Amino acid sequence: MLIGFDLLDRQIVDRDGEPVGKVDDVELTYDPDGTARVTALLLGQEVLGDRIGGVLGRCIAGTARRLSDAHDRPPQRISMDLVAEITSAITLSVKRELLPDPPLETWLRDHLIARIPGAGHES
Amino acid sequence: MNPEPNTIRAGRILGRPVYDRDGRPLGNIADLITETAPDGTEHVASAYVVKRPWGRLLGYERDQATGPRLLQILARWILRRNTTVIPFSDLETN
Amino acid sequence: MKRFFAIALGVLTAIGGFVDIGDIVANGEAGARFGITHAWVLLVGVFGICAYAEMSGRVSAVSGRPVFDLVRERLGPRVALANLTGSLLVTVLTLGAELGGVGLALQLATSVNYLLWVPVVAFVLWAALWRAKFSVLENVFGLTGLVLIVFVIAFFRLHADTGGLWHQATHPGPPHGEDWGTYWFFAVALFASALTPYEVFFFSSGAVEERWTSRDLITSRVNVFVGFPLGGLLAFAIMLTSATVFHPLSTSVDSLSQVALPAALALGKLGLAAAILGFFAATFGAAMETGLSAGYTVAQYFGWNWGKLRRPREAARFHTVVLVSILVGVAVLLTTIDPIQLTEYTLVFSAVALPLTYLPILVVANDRDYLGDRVNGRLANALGLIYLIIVLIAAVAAIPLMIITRMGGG
Repeated sequence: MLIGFDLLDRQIVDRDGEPVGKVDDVELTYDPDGTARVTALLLGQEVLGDRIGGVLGRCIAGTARRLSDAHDRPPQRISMDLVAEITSAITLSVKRELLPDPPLETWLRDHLIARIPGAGHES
Repeated sequence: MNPEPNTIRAGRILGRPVYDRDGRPLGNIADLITETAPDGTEHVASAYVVKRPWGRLLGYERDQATGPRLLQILARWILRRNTTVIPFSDLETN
Repeated sequence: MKRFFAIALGVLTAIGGFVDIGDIVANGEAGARFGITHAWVLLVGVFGICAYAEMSGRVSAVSGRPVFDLVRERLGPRVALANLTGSLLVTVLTLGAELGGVGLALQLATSVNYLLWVPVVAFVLWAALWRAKFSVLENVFGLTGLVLIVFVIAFFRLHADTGGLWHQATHPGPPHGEDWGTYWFFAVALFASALTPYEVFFFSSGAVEERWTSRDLITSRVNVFVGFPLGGLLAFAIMLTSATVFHPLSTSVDSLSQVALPAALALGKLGLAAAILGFFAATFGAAMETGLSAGYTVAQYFGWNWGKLRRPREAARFHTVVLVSILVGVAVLLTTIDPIQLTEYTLVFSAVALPLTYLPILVVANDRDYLGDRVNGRLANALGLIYLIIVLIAAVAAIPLMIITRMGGG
């Protein structure tokens, strides 16, 4: 498997096919003997901004940090044992509700979208 | 909260330049190849190092991508001239 | 009747692509200034968008994923972000222009200045995208947009010089009074309008909204091969009637009312009413398409929940982007910039974004991991490659031509 090709920037979906986010980075853990294991998927605008790098990356990461409540909140992390399948998307073995909500979505939902009538109906 | 001291993000490794023992540049790390260990986890086995400026490989380095013949031939020609595969344990971070 | 509704997505996408406000006027102007010597450009454009829309529909139906998802995967986050920014800019500016276009159509009907209509139209658009069902929007605006067929009927009533027109179509080149620079500028603009990125993003996202699966491949293909040629036909009809009426008089066309004139000449008040209704539906449809596309592309880049098929509560970021895009569109219009001039600029810039849009589609359409054995065959690949080269040439030529010919003014 190729980390860059098969994991990074892929869409993550939960076991019902609902989108969870993109793989913005991958966490590697070093064993005592020096091998690096793939341990988790990392999500979030901060993580993406850090990976893109440069001025643009810092902008993206910066706005994300300003919007989240805690300034040193760790990035959203999905452990590799929750990954069921890696095909055109990365399918998890759990439902989306079990994972923490992305901060931007929550903020917009609470402050803007939920206040407009009809927000509870799909079309 | 600080991250665990022995973890690193893949994004930090990808794109880094690689030099051989004599200090000559071999290119940048374009991707990391993993193998499945007996316990089911993936561990990093080797790195694709590609001479600049070719970064993203569009997937043509894999065997499965068929692609339109012209693009495939073009991509493979570029890659063959410019890619080396280096075992991960041979890389030292500095 | 039910059969018709199954192709509504393709028809609506095509209408937004081929007869939005910019195209309506561009085809009218091209007809007036160049006769139908650009007919071949529309033909080439139709083939191109059919090839790529078919690939996009197939990828979305088989993998369940929309095409913009793949741009980030294949090109990497940096290049995809550049692509996103560029296409978002074009899409939002086009959205503004379409709002202006709807306003202009209403101005034709009511003589109330278009700027006064713009906030009303923007609100109705937002409300429609917020609550109305995707299928209802497709069907209503797809069907009504087809009223532009009045231009085909008008042509047959206009006693045109068919010999002269045929000569124009088969001898591409600038007629008296124009030069090759302006000729190619219009060619690039008309071609870019046929293949604007938001068409494929909208079509493939719509495929996911409609929950197409591998069993819907035939539906997808019918949508493409009926919808887009129909859109091309409508655009051609506008060019044709304009060429018939205005070209012999050496007049140029730069307003919506002039474009409608041939329909009025041939069919009287009914023709004019039909033309205005058609303009209204087409520009409103294009406004919907660009508004939703803005939301789709941003959400699909970042991996957010998106789509009208979800409750807005569960796709807050997507709906916020749509809302903000509409507001930005209105703001741009309130600077009193001419909506038609605005689309002509955005057309040129979207030509530049084309290669990065279509390259990942071609690559993924060949990937067995995504499509199993429904990967591209030889024909699809051949067409894909040829058009990739053509869009590359158009992308490189667009801005120099714009500068040299001063937006086609010569």
